[in-house]
Amino acid sequence: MSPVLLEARGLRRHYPIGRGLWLGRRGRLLRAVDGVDLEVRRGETLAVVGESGCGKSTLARLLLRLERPDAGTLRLDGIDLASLPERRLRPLRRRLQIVFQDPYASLNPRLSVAALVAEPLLVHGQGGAAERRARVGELLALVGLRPALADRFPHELSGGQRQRVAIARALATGPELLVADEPISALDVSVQAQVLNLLADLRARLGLALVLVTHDLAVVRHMADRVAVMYLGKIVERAPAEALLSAPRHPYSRALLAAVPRPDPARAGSRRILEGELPSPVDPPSGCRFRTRCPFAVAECARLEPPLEETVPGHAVACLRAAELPPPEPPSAAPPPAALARRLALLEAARDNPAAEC
Amino acid sequence: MHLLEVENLSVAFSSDGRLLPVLDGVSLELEAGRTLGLVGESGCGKSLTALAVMGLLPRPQARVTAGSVRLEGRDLLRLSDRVLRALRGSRMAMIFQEPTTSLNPVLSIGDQLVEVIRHHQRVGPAEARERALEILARVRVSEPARRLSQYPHELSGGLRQRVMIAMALVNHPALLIADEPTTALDVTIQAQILELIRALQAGTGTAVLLITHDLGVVAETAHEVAVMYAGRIVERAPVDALFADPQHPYTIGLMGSIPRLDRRVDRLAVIPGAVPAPAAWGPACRFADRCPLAIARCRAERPALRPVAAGHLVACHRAPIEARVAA
Repeated sequence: MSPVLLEARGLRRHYPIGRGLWLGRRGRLLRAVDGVDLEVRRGETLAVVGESGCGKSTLARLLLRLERPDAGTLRLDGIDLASLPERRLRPLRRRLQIVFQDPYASLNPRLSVAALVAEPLLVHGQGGAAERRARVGELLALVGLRPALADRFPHELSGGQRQRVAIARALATGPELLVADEPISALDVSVQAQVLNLLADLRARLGLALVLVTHDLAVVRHMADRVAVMYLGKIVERAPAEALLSAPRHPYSRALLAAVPRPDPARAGSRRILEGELPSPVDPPSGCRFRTRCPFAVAECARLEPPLEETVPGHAVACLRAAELPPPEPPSAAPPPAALARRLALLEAARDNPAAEC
Repeated sequence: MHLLEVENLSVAFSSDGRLLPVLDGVSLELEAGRTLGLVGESGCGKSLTALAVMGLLPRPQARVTAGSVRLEGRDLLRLSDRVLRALRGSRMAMIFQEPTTSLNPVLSIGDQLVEVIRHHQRVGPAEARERALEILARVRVSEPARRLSQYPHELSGGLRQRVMIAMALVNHPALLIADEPTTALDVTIQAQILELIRALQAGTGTAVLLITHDLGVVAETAHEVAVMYAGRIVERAPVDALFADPQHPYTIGLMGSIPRLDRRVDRLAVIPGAVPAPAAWGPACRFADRCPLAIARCRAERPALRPVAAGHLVACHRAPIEARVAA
């Protein structure tokens, strides 16, 4: 296993809310991230999964120290970023970068592609004008953009191209950790695969650690080495991706997996559906936060908060009943339609050999 | 007679004095109790098809340039606004991706439901309120009596979508159009809503036109599927046939490009390039520029939607693929 790059212990971020002038509702807190332990290893892809409001984006911002945690430590090579003043953080920021969900919103519309990609270099005082220009060229090539696009502006680009610019920008300072927060959610389906393949290539080529924040478990299967599943500000399960997706242990992970619609008509109507909705993170249930929707909950779950414990090395679950739960249903092992695989190969071959006219 | 029959429908937007086609000869049929999935990426015309059926195309920019839309035998395009208004909300209804934009923020849920009921049914306020309660219970909204006095912003996204569905179904429409009804929802809530639509359909026989970009949602919900690309239907088939035997290179590429939960592939298949904008649409095959199988004919001649098997139509000069393309 590769060495730990970033290590979070007891990370917490609560937002005060409803503190109006006259309302007087003091002391109400939204517990966005409520005690998270997590490490990111060099070169690995770690997926943080959960539904809206689970705290995954706040966690992403905490890991980059874009937010200051209320409690806990965040060590980058042993230095605790949580308590570091901004002045001393700044030189470290080039090592940690982020790509946001919506490239329509995250790129300054008045800057050209070249200026957008060069901006982080300027901010960090890296290189002279000529060097920066050369580096911009390199970066555009790295993310698969033609050099001619350097003088274009964001509105002249497609969604996929914009997200490539955002990625080039994040890579400009040579980071060791890249956080991608729902990087494909705003893109068209046929373009999503392009960006996922690019992220996978870059991670392998540059030896990046990638933290992928997503709601999409199929993307997790495709990309991740390890997964952390979040529910209401806490990690409920943390495991190697393969283990989590083939044998999820926490009832919430199981429900999440079962709810994903799959492109397989034979399976239609067979899924089990989780009842109820996400409780408010302002007033989370006592004990286990999932107990109000959990089909396995017992009285004890309301009293005791289950700790995140490793049951098997590398596989941690926060559930009092994890050991006694029935084994999860094996994932449907329907073979992929043969025709699809064959025809995809045909398209692939034709692409490599476009002269095959007839 | 089909419940819904769209024939050769074309729609154009006027822009800078010229007409830009956005829908180009779309034909589809739908029977009572069935769900037709209309699949495609943004800009392919799937939502415009729905709006054209509902008579809700933005005016005056958009207009139908050819074709017909028949619901229960009546040509909707020839009806007056008044008659159409009477049909909307009673014989046909539509739900949208974002319920917040379709619900009135300053009216309570009860007031909105009662308004929809009394607009189409001759009932007094007390009776309408009864029916509102009944429909909320049927779409499994918890504590329906309390919801009547609540406002949209007080409800969660999932509950708002249930209220939208209640409002759409309260007058027992023959056709429900659902435009990305679960795209804004979390996956566990999405599963609840799709199941709800399925259960209601089984009970009432309402035909559903389900518009989505998500092949997983289609596979689990639709009986038949139409795949759209750049203003045209490129493939139509029963859902099993489409997934077992995809024929159009766009359909194949789309299926290969989505990551799957049940297996990990090394690399996702990629459809190079991006969806063309309407201004760049040509008369021939609009997928040709992204298609590795394209030949000269594809760039010269529009492929007609023709059968490759019973009920399975493909608009591709290269289909059926194995027979025409040497491996």
